[in-house]
Amino acid sequence: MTFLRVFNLVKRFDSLAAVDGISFEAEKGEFLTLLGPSGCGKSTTLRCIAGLETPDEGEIYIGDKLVVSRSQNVFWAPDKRDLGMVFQSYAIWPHLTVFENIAYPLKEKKLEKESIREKVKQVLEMVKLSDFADRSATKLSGGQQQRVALARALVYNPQVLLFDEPLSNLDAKLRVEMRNEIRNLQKKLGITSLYVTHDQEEAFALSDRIIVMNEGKIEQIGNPFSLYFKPRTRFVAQFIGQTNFIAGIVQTSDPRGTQVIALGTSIHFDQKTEMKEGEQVFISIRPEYVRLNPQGKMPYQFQGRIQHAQYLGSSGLFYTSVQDVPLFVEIHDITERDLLFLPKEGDWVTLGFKPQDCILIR
Amino acid sequence: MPKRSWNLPIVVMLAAAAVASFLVLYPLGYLVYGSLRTSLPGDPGALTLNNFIEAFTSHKILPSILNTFIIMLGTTLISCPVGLFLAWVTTRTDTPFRRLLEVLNLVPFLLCPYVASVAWGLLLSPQIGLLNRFLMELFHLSEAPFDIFSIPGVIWVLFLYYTPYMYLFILGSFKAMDPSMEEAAQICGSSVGKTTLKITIPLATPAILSGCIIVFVHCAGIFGVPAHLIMPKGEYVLTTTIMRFTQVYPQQYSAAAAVSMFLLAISALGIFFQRRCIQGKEYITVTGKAYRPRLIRLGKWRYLTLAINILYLLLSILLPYGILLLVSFLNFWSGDISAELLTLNNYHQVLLEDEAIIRAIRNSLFVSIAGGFLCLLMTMLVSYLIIRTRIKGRGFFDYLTMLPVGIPGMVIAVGLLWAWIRAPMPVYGTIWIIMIAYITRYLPYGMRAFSNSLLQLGPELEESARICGSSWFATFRKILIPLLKPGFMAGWILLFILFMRELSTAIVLWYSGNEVISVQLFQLVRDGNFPSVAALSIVQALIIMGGILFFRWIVKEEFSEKIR
Repeated sequence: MTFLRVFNLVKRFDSLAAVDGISFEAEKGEFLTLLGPSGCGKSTTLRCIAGLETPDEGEIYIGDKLVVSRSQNVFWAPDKRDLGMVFQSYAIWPHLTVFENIAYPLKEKKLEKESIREKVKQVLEMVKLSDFADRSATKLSGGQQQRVALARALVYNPQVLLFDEPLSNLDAKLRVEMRNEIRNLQKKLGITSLYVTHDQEEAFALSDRIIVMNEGKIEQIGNPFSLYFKPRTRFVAQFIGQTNFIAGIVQTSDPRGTQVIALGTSIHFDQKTEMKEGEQVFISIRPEYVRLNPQGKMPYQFQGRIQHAQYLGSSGLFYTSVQDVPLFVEIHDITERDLLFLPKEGDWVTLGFKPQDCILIR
Repeated sequence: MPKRSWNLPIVVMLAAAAVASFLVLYPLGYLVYGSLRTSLPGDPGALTLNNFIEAFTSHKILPSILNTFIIMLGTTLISCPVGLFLAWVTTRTDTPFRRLLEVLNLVPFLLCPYVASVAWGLLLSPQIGLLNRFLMELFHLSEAPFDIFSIPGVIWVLFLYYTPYMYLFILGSFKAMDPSMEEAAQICGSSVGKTTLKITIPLATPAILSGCIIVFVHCAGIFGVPAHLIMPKGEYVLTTTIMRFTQVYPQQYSAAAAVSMFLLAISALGIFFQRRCIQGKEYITVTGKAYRPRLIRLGKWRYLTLAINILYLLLSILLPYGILLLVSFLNFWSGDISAELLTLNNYHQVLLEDEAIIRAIRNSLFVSIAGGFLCLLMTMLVSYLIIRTRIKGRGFFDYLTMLPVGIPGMVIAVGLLWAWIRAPMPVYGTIWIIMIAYITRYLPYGMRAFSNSLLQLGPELEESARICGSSWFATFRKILIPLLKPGFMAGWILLFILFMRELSTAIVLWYSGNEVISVQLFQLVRDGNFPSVAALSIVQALIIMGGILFFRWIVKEEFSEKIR
């Protein structure tokens, strides 16, 4: 059952379209992430859903309710949308205690004192801050403030939970800890959640599905697996993990696959594309799938020269050039014996790959 | 289904902005109008430049322009190096007690310069000045060495009073300077003294220049000091000339308007240059972090720097208020002090008997407390409109409310005089017109106080409250107001002090019954009643001190940080 629906959302600032016509849906209980670089429109989208920005075009439904539509002249104020939100800067009120911060939304709903105390206690336990109820909000560390913010967003059981890059201000270790807690809590409570981040790893760890955005538009929607192994655009291939792009020209394209001329040969891919002969296409291959001096014979092999080599412990990075095309190779699980055979800068090496490890992208 | 519509908060804010704009534009408009027309508003007349011609060919106008410029230049040239020196001493050297000195150097801000000029008159009048007589005896002189009733005298008093302005500007710059700039110079081989001269001071140049222009411009608009020290001798400056035009019979309001326009032009030009000067050269020394700069060890010399700072404080605070305190306990002032003349009668008069004075004290308190509050209320709403909303055209309100920075108080008052003289509302002649003039004059101060606070708070604190279910008004009440309270109180203290001290604005709008303390002092000086003057000055100073202590007790914030 879809629970959150966004149709054709457009939001402009002066003449620039920060959000340029996007649509997506979230299922009930789903953890959906908006992922993209700075300025891609993900925060603006979130804020439109929250009611902190007013879209110029488009509709947003939360549950069955139409909460905003310019064309139909509908706008529900943020305090009437039954949402919870966790901000990047935590937004904990310094003049209130931890208890008062969390109890605030319940007070606005005019609940009974006893009921408020019960709920706050429950939620403090959930975020592991039971002993902090009476502490002044200013005397908390970053991580603790973030938990209070989370508790405050959860205490009144909103329909949808919004997260605006909540972990960016925490240090690396705390970030990992907090994201696990967020994920566990969300799963336990089953609240539909929309999360915004620019950190690909974070998005992968938390989400059921990810919406990759760039320059106000959606590039691709999918689960982490499909985004990593089947990127559909160059942007997604580059933004998610790392990849090499080899430019080529389509020779033929039919139900048996696609034939591409690249690196001086004709390569067959099983992937079916709707491209025409003569069109330019990019072969995207992740660095861990390019083999360096392979033992057996690979379907396609090329000679190249090492430009730059970095040995990093159990892995190594090799920047090579094959017919002036840069190819970047990553080797994992290097053992002591391998060290003797690792190529150095200036060496000529053989590089190979299998077509099934590649993705053809327009 | 709830629809989008004009919401009440926006309407309230726009109303406040409209009122603020009206306050600024109305007197200005009338001033321009009055200076260019042949008759008073409401009477038939024509456009003319005659007023300007008459005003600027009138008797004594050219000397008054010259005097004004001499005073502006002289004061700026002296207060600049002294302010720089004091700032350097308190932030960059190991002078003892420098933390205390840092705060004390700001005390002259609280004092009314007019009162200071009266006090220095008591000290350095050529015949009976106490300090003169003391020096004459000490050095066996036949004539008094100093005559304060002269243009150099005016420069002296103004320098003592305006040095804290320079000091504050440069202090801010020094404190925010990244010490690694100086450290880099020292590693390159530059001695401490050379580093100060070649790195530290040049980096503070925007602040120094800025401070100089502000002092320069303010001197043009000062009334009390030249009125007391050189007007009795027949020497005028622009402000006293304007006053004269409004006080003679028949009143020459048009000439007053013309000269006011000239004064306005000088101020506006100065502020324009000050803005340009800051924009171009904002060296990236101010990063927002507070640094601990390296201190220069002065060795024995640090006692000298301490002595110089103490001397400054002596001359600007202790001597003038000392003599006032003394004279306030005397029966009459003739230059002699003897035990038989001691009395509490003056205080009795000032606080309990003289109705006019008591009324003046009441008026001052009313205007300063209520006027300060209203000004802040208005600027709070306008600041919120400018900073937190995206209403088109809000930049216009920002510009307009900061405009009074470049308008001397007397100019506003003359404009108001014109505006209200034929106005349907009977505001002219009441205490309300004084309050309106003060609020208009000090709008920029209120705006500064709130913009800083609001910018620091960040919008998320309110946004999260909205998401949690608070309406706009509930958020304003429960989240914003408690967080803005320290800024509000600090702004209120500042306005309280500024309103209590103000003279040049009130003197033009003075009418029997709406005197404030500063105007009452002016009248008492005219009557030659110095003991009462002294007593009332002390009372004024005590009220200001009391106000500060009261507000500090409520807020417990660092005073010197807020004054900026």
